[in-house]
Amino acid sequence: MLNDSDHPRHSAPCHRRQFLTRMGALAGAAAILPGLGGCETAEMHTAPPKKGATLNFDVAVDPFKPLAAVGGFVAADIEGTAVLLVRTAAKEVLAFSRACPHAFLDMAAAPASKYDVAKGVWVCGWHISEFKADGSAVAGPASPSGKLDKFAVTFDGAKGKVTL
Amino acid sequence: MKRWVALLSLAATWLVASSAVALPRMTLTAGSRCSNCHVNPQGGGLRNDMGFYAMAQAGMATWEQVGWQKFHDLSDNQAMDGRLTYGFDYRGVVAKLGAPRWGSDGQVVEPPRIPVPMQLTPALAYKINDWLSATASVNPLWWVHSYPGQSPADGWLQIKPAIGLPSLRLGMIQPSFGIRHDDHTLLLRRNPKALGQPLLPPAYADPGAEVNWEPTHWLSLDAAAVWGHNLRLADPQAIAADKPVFSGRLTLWPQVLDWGINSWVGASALVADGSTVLGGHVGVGKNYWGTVIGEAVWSKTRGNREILSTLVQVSHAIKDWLVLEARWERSQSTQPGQSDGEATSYVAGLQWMPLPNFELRPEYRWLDTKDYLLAQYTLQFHLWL
Repeated sequence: MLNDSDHPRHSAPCHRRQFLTRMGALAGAAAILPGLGGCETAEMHTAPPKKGATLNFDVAVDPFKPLAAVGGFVAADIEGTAVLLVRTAAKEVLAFSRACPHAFLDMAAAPASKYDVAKGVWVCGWHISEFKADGSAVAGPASPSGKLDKFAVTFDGAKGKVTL
Repeated sequence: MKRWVALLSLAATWLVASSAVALPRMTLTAGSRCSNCHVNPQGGGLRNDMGFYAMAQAGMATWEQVGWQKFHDLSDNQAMDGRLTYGFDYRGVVAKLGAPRWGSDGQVVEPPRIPVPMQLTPALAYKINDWLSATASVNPLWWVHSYPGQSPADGWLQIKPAIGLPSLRLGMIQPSFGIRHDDHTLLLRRNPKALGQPLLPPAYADPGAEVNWEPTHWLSLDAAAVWGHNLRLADPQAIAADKPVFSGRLTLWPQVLDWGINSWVGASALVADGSTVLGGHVGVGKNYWGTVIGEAVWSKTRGNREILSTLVQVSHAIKDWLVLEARWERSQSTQPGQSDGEATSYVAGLQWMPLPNFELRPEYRWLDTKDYLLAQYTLQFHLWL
């Protein structure tokens, strides 16, 4: 530690004025920031999902055999839209968009991805975000505002249909 | 007399270093090595007494001017007669994380802007004797938000017999590769087809050893061997099993002292489970003024996936406490049987230190990939001791 003689005090009034002037200038600069919001943009370079496009599946037929057991999941493409099918109950299959809203990664490609039967949540294996049946994130970096797109599914326990 | 010499040395270090906050720009405007100011010879994290003093008054206002004389008078971050060095880093960001997507109504949905705490890292270093020290840090925020492969803690024993001789670090370490950046959103470290998946995660560490050697003022050498468990977790598509990881880095540090020009140029290599990563880095800086930095990283991993990424970054110090910075990056990936990946990023921003030990970094970021474009304002903040 050094004493005051090693750290001479500055002339406070002069520096206070200087400090306030600088703060004022920066506050002025900050005031124009909201106006810059117009420079923010988001665009997609991929085609939007084709509304109404469908996919029929049978859990006894490849590539949908993983859906034969509760907890199984498969990746599918419906006219260019990447979809994830998850078997959550005896007569329930859920269909979500496959890109995790956290980092846009393909959840089906993550080795640790799974349906947690006990908790009733889909777990994205990249960064361990958890999603409820309605697609909303309940844990992990995708929460609290992230949400998977959910698509309509009909399923009788053996065969089903996904509609975008 | 010795005390005055020490104080003048510290003051000189402050003068040349105070215009910089983040690696790697700092070495180029200060003309010094990372190890001059940081406990970790790679740079970043816990600062030694020189590093602490260099930044203790580098702000738009000093602590004295805002009435915190006691902190202003704190001249080092050491205790126990200099044996114990302490510090912490807290970093966070307010940004739109993730990517836009198509909504069910056919409209583009932007990711929400959220505050993300990234790092809260208390750290300690203890000098056991003249040639042996121990360093450790922990990041509790790892349990809140982390990347696969990111380590919640690192720590090592360092054996440093004398200046000019090789030093050895043993423990949970990050092998040296290229430039150690403090911004983990760099494309250099990521896969353009899976931007949330870093090849080398932020705060990555695995158990192993590294030799660091600075035999002369113009040369440094690093060679490491670690057990690649966390590296596999980071990118299991590239690395299938826990296996040894070997890395090496060579850097030349030419300087033109009369002109105040500092520079470095170097190359790195990392091999792990059949994957190879090669890198080259170059930087030129002028004391007190600014820097130009370039880095390229090429990797080839399992499945013949190749990624080539390039970065160019410029900075200019308007004041000690206000630095303009801009960056361009491009990353491309190819893999047989799969579509190519491509991403381009532009970042421009300010590094503003309103007070010593506190940095705000407002930035404009433009990220254009094959799937989407996202342009946004972000704000990073960094508080440290």
